[in-house]
Amino acid sequence: MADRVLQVGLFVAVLALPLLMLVFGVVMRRWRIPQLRHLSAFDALRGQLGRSIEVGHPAHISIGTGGIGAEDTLVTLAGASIVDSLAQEAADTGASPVVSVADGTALILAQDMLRHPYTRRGDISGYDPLAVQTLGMAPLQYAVGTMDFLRHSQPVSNVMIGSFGPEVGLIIEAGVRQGLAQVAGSTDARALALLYPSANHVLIGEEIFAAPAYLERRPDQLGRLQAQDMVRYFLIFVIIVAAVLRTFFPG
Amino acid sequence: MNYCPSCGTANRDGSRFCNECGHKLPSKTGIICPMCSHMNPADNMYCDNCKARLVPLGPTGQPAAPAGASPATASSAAPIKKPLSLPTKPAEEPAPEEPDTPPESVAQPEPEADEPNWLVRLRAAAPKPSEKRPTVEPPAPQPSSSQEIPDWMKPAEGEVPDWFQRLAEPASAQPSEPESVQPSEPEPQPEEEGLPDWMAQLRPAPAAPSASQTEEEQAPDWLTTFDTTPPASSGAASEEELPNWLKGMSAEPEAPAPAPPPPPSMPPPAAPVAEEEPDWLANLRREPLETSEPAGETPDWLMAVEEPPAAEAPAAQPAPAEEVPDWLMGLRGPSQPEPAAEPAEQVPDWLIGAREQPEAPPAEHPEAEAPDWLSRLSGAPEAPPEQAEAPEWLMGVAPAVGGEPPAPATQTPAEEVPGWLRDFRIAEPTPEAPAPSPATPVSAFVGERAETEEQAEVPDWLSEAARPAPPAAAPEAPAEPVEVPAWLRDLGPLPAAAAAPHPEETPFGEAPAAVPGEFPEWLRGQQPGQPTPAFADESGRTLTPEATTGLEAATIPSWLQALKPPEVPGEAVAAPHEAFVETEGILAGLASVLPAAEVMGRAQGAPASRNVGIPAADLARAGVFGELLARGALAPTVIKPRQVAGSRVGDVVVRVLIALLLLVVAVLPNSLGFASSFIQLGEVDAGLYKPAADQVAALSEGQHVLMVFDYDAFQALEMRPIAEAFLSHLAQRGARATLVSLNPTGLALADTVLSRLPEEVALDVVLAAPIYYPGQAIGAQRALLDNPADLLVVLSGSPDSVRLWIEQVSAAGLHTPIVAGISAGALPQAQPYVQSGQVRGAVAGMVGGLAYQRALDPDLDAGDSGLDRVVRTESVYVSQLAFALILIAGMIVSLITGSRQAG
Amino acid sequence: MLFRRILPVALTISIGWLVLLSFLPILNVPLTPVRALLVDWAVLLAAIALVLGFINLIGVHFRRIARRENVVYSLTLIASAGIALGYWIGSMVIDQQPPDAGLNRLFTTIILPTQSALGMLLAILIAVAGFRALRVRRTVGMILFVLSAAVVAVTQPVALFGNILRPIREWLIDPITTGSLRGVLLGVALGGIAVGLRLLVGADKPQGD
Repeated sequence: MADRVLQVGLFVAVLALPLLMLVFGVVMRRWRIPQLRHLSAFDALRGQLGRSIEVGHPAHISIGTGGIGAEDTLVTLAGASIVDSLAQEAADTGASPVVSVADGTALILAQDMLRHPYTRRGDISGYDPLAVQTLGMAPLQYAVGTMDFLRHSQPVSNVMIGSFGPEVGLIIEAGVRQGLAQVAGSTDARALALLYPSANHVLIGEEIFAAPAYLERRPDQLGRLQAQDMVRYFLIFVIIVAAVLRTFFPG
Repeated sequence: MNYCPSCGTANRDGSRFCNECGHKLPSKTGIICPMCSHMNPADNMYCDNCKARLVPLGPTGQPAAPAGASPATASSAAPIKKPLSLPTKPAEEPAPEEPDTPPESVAQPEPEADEPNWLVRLRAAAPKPSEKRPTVEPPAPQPSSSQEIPDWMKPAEGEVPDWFQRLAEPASAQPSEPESVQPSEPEPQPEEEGLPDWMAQLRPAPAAPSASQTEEEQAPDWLTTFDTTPPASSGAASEEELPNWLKGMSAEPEAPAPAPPPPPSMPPPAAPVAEEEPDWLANLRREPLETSEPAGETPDWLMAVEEPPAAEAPAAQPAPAEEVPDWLMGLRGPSQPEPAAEPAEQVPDWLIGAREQPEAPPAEHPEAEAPDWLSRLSGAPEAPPEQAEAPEWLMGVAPAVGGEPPAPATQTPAEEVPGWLRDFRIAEPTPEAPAPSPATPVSAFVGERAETEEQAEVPDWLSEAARPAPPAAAPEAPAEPVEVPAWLRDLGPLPAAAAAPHPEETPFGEAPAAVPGEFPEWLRGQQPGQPTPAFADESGRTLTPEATTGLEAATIPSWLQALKPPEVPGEAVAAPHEAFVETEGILAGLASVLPAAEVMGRAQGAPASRNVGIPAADLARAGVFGELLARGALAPTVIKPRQVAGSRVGDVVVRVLIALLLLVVAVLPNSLGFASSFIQLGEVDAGLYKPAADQVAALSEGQHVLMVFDYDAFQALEMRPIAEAFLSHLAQRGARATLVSLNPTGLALADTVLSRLPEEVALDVVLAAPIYYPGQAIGAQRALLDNPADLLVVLSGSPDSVRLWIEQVSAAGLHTPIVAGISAGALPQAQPYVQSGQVRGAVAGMVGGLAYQRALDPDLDAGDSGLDRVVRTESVYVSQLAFALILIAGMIVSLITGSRQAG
Repeated sequence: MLFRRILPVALTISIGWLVLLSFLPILNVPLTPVRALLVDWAVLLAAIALVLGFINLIGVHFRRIARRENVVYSLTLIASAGIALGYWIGSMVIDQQPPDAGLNRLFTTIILPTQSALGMLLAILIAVAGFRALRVRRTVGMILFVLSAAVVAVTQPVALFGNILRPIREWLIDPITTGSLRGVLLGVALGGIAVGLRLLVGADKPQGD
């Protein structure tokens, strides 16, 4: 019975999610903007490009060791959405962030996102294809390459939001030794265990999916967050009900 | 310094973002771009936003010194600007009266070295005095007219353009020109003795019949003051520019433009002898404007109105006059020298139209649409009395017209009438009204009352203003009363002589109430530039400026005097625009097109006073800064590695000791072979391997297994026992396996595992060489479809890979059982999948792998190789234990030391 | 405009829905072959992306050499990649087969040890991170310290306090860690579903304008 409850609840949640996203998108557009929970990581994100302009060093942005088609495709897309949010500001201000990847599909994705603002304005001359760098083809190789990059390029900040494993500890430690401002986010518990004590700002789990809403504050994005929250509350309710049922009705 | 509003960090000037937190900084100082209004740092040469030039080119064509340059370089680059001096008391004695002849410079101005090009061109294009230009004769100069202007209005010596100087000269210096539309020469009016000369000069010239006047006798004087000869180059253009109402007043006789009737409460523009023109209004038509004026009271518009009437209509002047406003051009009379003449296209339309209809009978009603006030300007009696709107304050100062008292209307509250205007109330026409003065530009504007009774629609007040004083020489001036517009009537009549005093604050105390047309005594004899003499108020007491209450003569405080820029004696100010020719952009080749460029490029804020001494240290710093700017962008800030806390010698020693300890612990048992002597391994939980082993055990011979190597190289040592155990077990069961990997390194890892197995085992189990499937989840799909298997063995170092294969198996619609070999670190995250049954069994970590191996082969630890394996295994365990102990000890020490530091 | 803006989005949406619908058994449309074809193309694209990543890696290091930035490291990387690539090409040309043995030797002698060392370094870094947590965030650090010590104590194979600590692990540590991890995974799954749905309906367009 508990299993049945869980299955039905999950089915309803999956079906309801797109409808709720649509509804709340309209609500946000027309009536109100919700009060988002404060996440210091996004506040720190907003100022990084400005700092890079003033200091004259690039800002390093990493979208993880995953790629498109991998098990962490969506996490990689979430990290790439941050690049997308910052790309317009980078093109407008002339900042030149360095985006590092470890996968070829992520390379293509990040390059496309960095190129968007320049193609929109019809002037591709300001775009640097090597602004997106493959620093390694495997997680540990990528970590070593990133450590070397941080040491020699001396970016003003280190932003790592995406799919990471325990190798992120090497990168974080290198950043700490250089005194970099570090913003990190991951869905992997092993990576979070290393990120939480060392990074200045940490995004845990699904918080990285909220990056576009926090950075751009578009009504449809805020509606999506609201819909996710509603479904989450519903699932919590379903889990509690299932747990109670399983406890009192083990059969 | 620019302080960040978010974190308070001090940032250098010109920074757009905070160096600490990246917050956008408000711009406090800098140069506002004249093109896009973007605030730029003070040391920018070009706008950051639109790339427009911020720092103008200097006299030599080189960029002027930027804001950060030293004063020496700045002074050498930028021309010296001498601002106007502060007002001082004018001289006591009046300046000698100048004859009423046009200054020669008007006719043939000599281009001065410091004159801008546009001025030179204007002057060159100005019509010569010998040219027949129907302009208003300059009014008779006041005997006591003064050439002096207040010091505060005096520009620095040598800086005054000639045209400006000419403006200050009385009309007597203006050329007398044969006029066709000019009234007679102004005759000194006996009743004008009390008027200031400069005001008396403004009286319109009495209408004098002349040749062209005959032709234009129907035209109001104000219209005839302009050039009646249609300009050759601009006639057509001017005609096109005429509004409809003014086109009716063109040169064609069949379409006459009516002269506007004068305003009802203003003196008639013509010179009706019977009616007295208010002195102040009459004076408006006379003498050229003098720049001197009683201190503080004469408004600018009045000053402009008082321009010499000799100013020619600018229609015939092709020279461009960028700097002279239209209103000034339009207000100039015919005798006005032409320094700032405008091309025909810049003349107001109504003025051009008026100019072009010298023969237009002003009395005819305009067929075209013309405003009533304009039609009444000519004083046409048949002009329908149209009531135009006028501000109430003007109503209060406008007397009745034509002898008719204005309709009693609500007296304009005193507070609504400007004080300065109240002083200039038009006096009621008196028999002693002086003869109409020559037409002035104002008369040209307001229009004299035409000799004929037909007038265009001119506001009464305007026609009244143009109406000269009723002299005997103007017999033809119609004496018919002019319709007073309602708005003017509403202002109410003003008592002729016993006007209620309007006490108001003046710099000289309470000014005695003035009735329209009467000037206070103190003003009558006042000459521009002269100090205000003592005067008697109504009560007869004598007042002097010093004796007024509350106010003292202005004195410049010493601190302000100190800031007064030094005047360069005897030097003509270098014309900043003379040699300036724009070299780039769309204005390339043009000279002096933007004379205000130097002002536009200046930084905002109060400029530094040059009188303030600049310390040598500041100069030196400015020079250094200039050098840095000259070199280009400042070197980027180098982020130095943070000094890691604890990087002291003691910490280094501790680290070395810990490393040695770990080494000893890891190596020693392996070397000495005595680990198992005193270390007893704990019982391995069977759950770490047994469920997976059971799945493999359930395979029959010949069944196919898909084995995935999906871990990284640094996990190889941990995963190798697990992989070896699975392959060995598969060999025991007779199953065949296909090795695949979703990572390129997986193939090499698989090979390393195979190389450690006995060759026969490897050959029996493995069907083919390992295969690499790119694309992660897509590759997994492909691998599942290409290699149908009875069991899926996933060797993964992360739970994500396990999850991926679970998903792809479900997506492919397969029901292949899955077992996992997973690292110890990933076990907690993979445990739910095991518990849910999606993964039938999992072998976790090296411990589980070794246990699995021992379960397969109880004799595995026997023999030398077995012992070697055991020792190595135990050394690993001991190292692990030692590491754990060191970790715990380190945490305790950190806790204690942290407490001490916090305490 | 059609090719740049509309076509990529249309392709994404149509192919995504096609593959998704092919997994649903309720539809009676034989979409499996279509899905298989699309999957093949995707595998091919992933392989090409791998090559592109490699080219980008080489390009980055070439630029660093040109800019005189960390020349030694970049030269070493390019040289080693060149040697491995040349060795493979030569084997294919000469022996008509890939040099598995040689490359494996290369892998086991160079790559494996270095990556193992880095893995070991990770363990040290985890400990250092714990120490830092204790210093920076005192309360959280204390909790981390206690739990870390307990987990290390119960997971190490040497039977010191195994009989006492195992129940603590089974009843306290495992449920807490597993439960918290499941919560994170649940949220990640929800966020992933939202992202995927937005891709399928074209609301998010990572592929182009």
